[in-house]
Amino acid sequence: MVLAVVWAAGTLNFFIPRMAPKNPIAEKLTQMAGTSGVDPTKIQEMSEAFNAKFGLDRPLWQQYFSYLGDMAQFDFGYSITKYPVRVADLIAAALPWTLGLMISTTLIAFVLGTLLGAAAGWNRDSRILQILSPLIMVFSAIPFYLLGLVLIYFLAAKAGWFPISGGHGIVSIPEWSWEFGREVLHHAVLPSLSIIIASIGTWAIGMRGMMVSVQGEDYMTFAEAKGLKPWRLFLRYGMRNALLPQATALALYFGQVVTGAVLVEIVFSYPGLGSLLLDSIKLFDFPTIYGIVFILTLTVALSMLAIDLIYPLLDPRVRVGGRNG
Amino acid sequence: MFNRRTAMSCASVAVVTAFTGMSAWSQTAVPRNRTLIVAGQVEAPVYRNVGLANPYSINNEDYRVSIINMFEPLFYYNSNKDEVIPWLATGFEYAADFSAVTVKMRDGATWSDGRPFTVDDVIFTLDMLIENGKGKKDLLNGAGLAAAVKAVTKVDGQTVRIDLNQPDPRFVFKFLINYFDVGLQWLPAHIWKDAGDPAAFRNFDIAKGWPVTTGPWTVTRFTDNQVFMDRRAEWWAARAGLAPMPEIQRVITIPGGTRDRMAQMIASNQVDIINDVQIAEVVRQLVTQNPKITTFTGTNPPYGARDWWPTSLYFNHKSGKWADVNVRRAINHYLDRKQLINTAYAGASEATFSPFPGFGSLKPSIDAVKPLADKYGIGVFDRAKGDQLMVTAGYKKNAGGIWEKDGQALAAVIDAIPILNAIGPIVAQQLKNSGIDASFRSTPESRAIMRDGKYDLTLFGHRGSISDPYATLEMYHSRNAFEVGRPTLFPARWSNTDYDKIVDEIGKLAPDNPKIGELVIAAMDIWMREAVEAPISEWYHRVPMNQTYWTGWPSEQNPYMQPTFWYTSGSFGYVLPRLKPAN
Repeated sequence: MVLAVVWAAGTLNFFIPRMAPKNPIAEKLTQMAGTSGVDPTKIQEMSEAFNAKFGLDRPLWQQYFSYLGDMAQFDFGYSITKYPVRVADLIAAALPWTLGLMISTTLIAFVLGTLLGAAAGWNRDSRILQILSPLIMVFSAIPFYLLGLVLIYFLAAKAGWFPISGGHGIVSIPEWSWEFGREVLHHAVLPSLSIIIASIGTWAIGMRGMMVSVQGEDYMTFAEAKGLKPWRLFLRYGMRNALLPQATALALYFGQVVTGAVLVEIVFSYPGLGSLLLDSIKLFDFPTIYGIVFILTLTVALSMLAIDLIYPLLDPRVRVGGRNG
Repeated sequence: MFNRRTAMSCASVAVVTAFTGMSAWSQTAVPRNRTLIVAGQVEAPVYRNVGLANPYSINNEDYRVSIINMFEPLFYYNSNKDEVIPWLATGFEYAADFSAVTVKMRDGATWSDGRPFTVDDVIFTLDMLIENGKGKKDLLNGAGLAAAVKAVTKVDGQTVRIDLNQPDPRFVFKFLINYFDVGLQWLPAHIWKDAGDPAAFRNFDIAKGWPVTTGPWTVTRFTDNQVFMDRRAEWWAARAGLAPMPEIQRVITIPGGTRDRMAQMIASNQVDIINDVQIAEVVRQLVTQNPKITTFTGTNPPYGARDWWPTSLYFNHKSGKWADVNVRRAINHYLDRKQLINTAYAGASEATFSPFPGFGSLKPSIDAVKPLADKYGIGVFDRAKGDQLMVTAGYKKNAGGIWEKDGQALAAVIDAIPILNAIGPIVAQQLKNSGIDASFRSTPESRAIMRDGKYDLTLFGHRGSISDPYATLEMYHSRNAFEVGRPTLFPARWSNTDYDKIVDEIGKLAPDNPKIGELVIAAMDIWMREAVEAPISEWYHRVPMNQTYWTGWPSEQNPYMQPTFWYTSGSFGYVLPRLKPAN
């Protein structure tokens, strides 16, 4: 099933960019002709030479089968617009930043949002939660990058507490040291905050709704009647059951992790996969687009597979041969 | 179960994973006041072509804002003084009929690995490019050199003879003198001869000291966020007395990101020079609020150095819409350039009436064609005159105040690339106010629309003349008037055989031939009469330079070179040794 999903997504990934009447070589040469030794009148001749070099002059079906073969071997080839850099190298350079920033902030936002939503749904009379909940809802409606700009203005430009942008200081040299690690974390605070603050609400809203639904279930009444302690009711009966749709949403969300924060990466000059994908789309760099989208497809497919495998642990009712199976 | 503890563990793992992209080695720190920090604009928030230092790769944009300035030319050219500065070569001499040129190399120049720079390196570079231009065509400058050069021959240990396919008195200026985005980078034959496919060769290996150049720098670091160029202990040009040894110990070039970000960085003294900010008001704010920031014209307008890219409104001459010269001349009259400049550039530019940039060396030509511009109304704002011309062309205004002919209202979309967004809407509104239903469009497609000749009107610059008028005139030769669909960045696609003949005649004459003056007038008489385009304004590179750590930047008072560090000629390499520490 996973293979079928990957093949179908990979096929769409191949054909959709090709529907645009664009040639990546011509786009690149045009861009460079404005500032370099590309003769403004020789764009066509150079385009033809590079089309042959990258096989773009072959029939589309031939290119498609080559593409399938390459993807099956995880060989993404060379970037057209960054030749002779390999797509795998581009992805490898961008991936750690994406993992470091996006995955961690997504997980933090998920945990905090889920807990907050659960608490808000469970204890609807709490004054603190009554104040916090609407505030978080408002933040959830603000795009990451906009929140990022506000944070930059107040906390970086005005207060000077954090750097304006970048993954580390301009003159500092990356090395394995606590000092440098602290600097990286210092630079990561504002981009992380912009994502976490804007994401918490989304998770909290979902969880709150599920907690309210769960509270009306018969097993909750039964557990309460058994005289179980409130924290046990909250964690084992309430949260555990309400968490299931959240976990599915998290798996799907990982697919958007890379693309969802492109503007955050741009605002903070953060060198992640999102901005790499955007650059590639702008210049129709097919191999790079294919490589990144393939990784995304695989990530989502494997996340869904992982969730399918984890689900029985979270919900005994779906276990094959389980008590309710 | 996926609980909070698991989530936090995953987050920790992810943060640790982020560190895997870092190199584990450490590097000597250089004090800030001996470090020059350059924020260069590249297409991405980070460098994508890490480790690519091949001057002739089409994908070397990261190298172009940094390492390119390590390469030294045979000759520099200072457009501010119209001065050729011999560097790796001492001089050149054309054959009497301009069918060949002999270039004499300087004695004593050495590569950064200690090997002598010789005439063999020059021959190797030229031959490599010519062979590529005739065959694979995947290197920059190859096609142009292949078309121009018949043979390259070693005369003696210091002299090379270049035979040309056709007599060309401007060959040296087209290829061997470096200025703006013109000129070649010379390659060490002892390294490149074993490079294999030159288009795939990265020319980068820190352990081997690559790229090997003749400049006073060596690359010690090239990551997605930084390029370090450290000063070498010895430099042939300092030894020869051509330049002082740089006082800068390290040049760090970082990807500048957006223009806003670069402006923030220079305002807070984090960096010493940034890319062209373009918006005059932003530069005015920078120089007003931070007294350490200066520009080529100091704290005065236009806050920058003149470029070879004066802006014009181009007519698509392949479109029947602009076939009538009266309409083209009317549009020239409808443009109020003063209002455009005041609104878009806060008054910090000058109106133009010809396609020539206003460099001193071109001033005689510009002055000579001024009477022609006045005669044909090019660059002259006169709405009433424009209306008369529209009536002559058979147009009359409809109920909506739009010019109409045969029931067709005259409408036009003006396409432009984003850096011209400041003037685009104003041009459109001025035309609208004069009865042309114009609208402005700047999208990611606009460059391709212009390139393929599929536009109505477009705003664009010129990359023509700097030292003599021929290059600009040649842009309008019929051989460049491609059919629609064939890409070119000479947007006019205009042709006139009489004009071609005059330009061909100029092309045969040396730039200092006195006959050129009258031929330029003859060519421009046709150009002006035909109202080929509507010139608008000069283009300035507004480059803020910070004096907190470094002084001696190029300026109007000391115009020893352009301050533009991203020119692909590598001319900023001439500036670096001349910067002095502020303390």
